[in-house]
Amino acid sequence: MGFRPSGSIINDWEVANVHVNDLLDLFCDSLELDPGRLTLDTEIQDVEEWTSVGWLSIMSALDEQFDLQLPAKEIRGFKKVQDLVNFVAARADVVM
Amino acid sequence: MNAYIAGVSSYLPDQILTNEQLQVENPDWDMDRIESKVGIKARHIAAPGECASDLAYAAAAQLLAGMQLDPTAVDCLILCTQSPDYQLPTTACILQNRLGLPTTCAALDFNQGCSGYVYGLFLAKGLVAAGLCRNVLLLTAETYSKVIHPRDRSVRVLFGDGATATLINSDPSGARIGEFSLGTDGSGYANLIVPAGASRQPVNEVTGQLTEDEGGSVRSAENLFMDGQELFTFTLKRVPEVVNATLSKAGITKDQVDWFIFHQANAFMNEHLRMKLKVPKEKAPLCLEQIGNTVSNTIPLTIHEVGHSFRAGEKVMLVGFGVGYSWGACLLDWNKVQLV
Repeated sequence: MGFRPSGSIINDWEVANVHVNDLLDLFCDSLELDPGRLTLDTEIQDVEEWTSVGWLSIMSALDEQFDLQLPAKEIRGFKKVQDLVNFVAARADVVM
Repeated sequence: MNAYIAGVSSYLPDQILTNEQLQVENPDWDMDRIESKVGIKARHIAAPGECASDLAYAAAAQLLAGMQLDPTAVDCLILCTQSPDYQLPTTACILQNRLGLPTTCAALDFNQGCSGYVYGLFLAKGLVAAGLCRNVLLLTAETYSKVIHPRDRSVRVLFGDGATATLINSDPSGARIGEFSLGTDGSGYANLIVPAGASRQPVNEVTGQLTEDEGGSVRSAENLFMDGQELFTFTLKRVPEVVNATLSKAGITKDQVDWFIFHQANAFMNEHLRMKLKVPKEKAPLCLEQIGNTVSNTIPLTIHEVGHSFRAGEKVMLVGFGVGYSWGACLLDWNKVQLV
């Protein structure tokens, strides 16, 4: 996907960005939810399928697709999907 | 001097706990979904009163008989277990007597989990290569089921009991034990733990009190607790490091390794790890569908199960990781190993 950690100052125009909707799709896919079930405002605890195993799927997908490691200790601080997107955006180029 | 693996055997207790049984017992567990993630359909469970030494005895007796090895030739017995029969004495001492090993045999336990087999080979190689021992009998035996609360989904679906036996000596017809890389990070100790029952937190009237976590799993401080997300984070960080460190010590590339035997944590974790390391599926056998995660037994159980497919001269990397945190990898040059 041409994704890479942020912070690089060269050739930013060549970086293929990921759209936030693609991230939401990735989370839905990891949690085996119908596409579109999640918005930035969704409260994580309101999603019944968002179990600890679901988190493992998301950790795995982020690592696999973006080489981005989501540490377990970060997860406890996430309330809304927006928080998770913010975590990714701080480390990669996400188009909101 | 070099050290070689001459033979491997395994033993699983008779009682089997299937996903169907777990589903009947726990209607609120989605066993189909769990099975599709963790890749485990059944596990063997030690009977009440059946302890680590009983499992280890069965595996060791089978190895000695299968290899037609005179017990008096064994001069060192090493047992890896976190489920000893007693707080003291050493379970290996009990096994020395029961197996009919000579009283001149050294015997000790060591306490490691998922990294334990690699640690055991590390110790055994050192003893044989230094000329201190001729025949080291390395045993692994675990009965985690005894400290798992039946309503703790997070661990009950994963772990099974079992034991293995491995003979290490200086006979070059076996699989040469090569380079090692080992590691430790005790900062993660609380993420896979039985909190109560030893000195730090002795059993008392409160340690047996049950609590329910946010995922609905139930346990007390006397039960096994695992933070799966923390273990996942740890594994993805440390395992690629230790694999690369071992390759670099041996001066070979990943492509030159014919087989990767990873600790069998669960299919989800192992598959992710394998893809992250870009190891082809056919080089990294999974062996947990019918036995689950058996802690220090998983690597020798997998060798026992699939070693028939290994050819002499092939390179095999063993990789253990988990409780502690503790991890380690080593390389074998495969040769004639008796799988009995």
